[in-house]
Amino acid sequence: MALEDDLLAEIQNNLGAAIPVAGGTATAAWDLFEVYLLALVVRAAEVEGATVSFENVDGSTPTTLVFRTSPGQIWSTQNPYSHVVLQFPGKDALEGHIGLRVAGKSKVLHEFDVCVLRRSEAVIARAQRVPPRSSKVVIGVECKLYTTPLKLGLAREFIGLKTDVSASGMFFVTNTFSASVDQLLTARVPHWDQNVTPAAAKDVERFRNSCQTVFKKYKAR
Amino acid sequence: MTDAEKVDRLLAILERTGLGWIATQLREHIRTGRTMIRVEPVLKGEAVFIGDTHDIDEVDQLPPRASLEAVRDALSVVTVDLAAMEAEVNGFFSARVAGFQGIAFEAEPMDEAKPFRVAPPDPDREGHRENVRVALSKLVEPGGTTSGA
Repeated sequence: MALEDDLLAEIQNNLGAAIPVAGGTATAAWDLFEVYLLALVVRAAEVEGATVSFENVDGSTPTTLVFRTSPGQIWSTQNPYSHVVLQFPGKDALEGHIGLRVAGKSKVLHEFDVCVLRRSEAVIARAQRVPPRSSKVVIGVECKLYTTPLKLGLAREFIGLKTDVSASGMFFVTNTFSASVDQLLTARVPHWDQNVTPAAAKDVERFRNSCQTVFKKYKAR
Repeated sequence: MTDAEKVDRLLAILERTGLGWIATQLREHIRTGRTMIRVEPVLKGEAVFIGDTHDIDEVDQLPPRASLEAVRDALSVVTVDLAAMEAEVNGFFSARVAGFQGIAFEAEPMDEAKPFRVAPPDPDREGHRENVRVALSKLVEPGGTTSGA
């Protein structure tokens, strides 16, 4: 069989499950990348001693984890959206969400692809139907899944976002690489990671270690 | 750029860069109207060039070999990387959620994105992923490409 036939067969074998069964938009790929990064953040918390549990917006315990396809309000009950609860011994619990709208310093709502915030803030926000404050966010991750090198404008947008949020750990994470983005973010923000994919163990570990450092500081406060 | 335009651009790039065999098969799917779930994202051009649709324009302007490499990289992301992420995500959460039945993505009412589910783990796919890696790496080796279907 020719190389091309082999390749097509293998691509078809892989695409079937990795890409949405219905709809067929790239949104599903982005969503999957966000959940992948959430898993890495949760793993970092575990390594730092957190116990992990899962909860739906109505307080029930999920067997199917339901996440948003785009950022929404934390109190939304349109679907039984799920979140992770992280409990460090002797500390206030944290919650990890996918796709959350969070109020910045200016009161403008910003979208966090992955968001770990204080559970006390999340509980109040759900009860009062108000967006959580960025000052209560421990880790916020801007996820960029691309097949081509990132454009500089995306890094500029992230730098702009960071000026209006007071989260302790704001990360810019992408699966690809761009030298100019690398250079700009190095000069302007503390946390950024490129090439984060399962095949890049070193880059994945670096991101996870950065998250661990943020959790270490949270525990020390 | 409409879906149809994206498809046309993508097909043109594939044909020009030695991946005409994919373009031919995609055109056949379009012509017959058959729904091939596995190639639907490729048909839309979005899954191959995730993100800004201007990516397609940029690839279009690259010299042939660089363009081929870009297509190779794009296919690698949508096949190898996403499948590996899916496997990791499944493994991670199934080990931590009692009675884990999977992950579902649901749109808010104002969100036009389509819901989907992460499929259950498939042990055969790791082998497929490795085969794809090897095949993709050969695509840009001298003599590893074809002149089209």
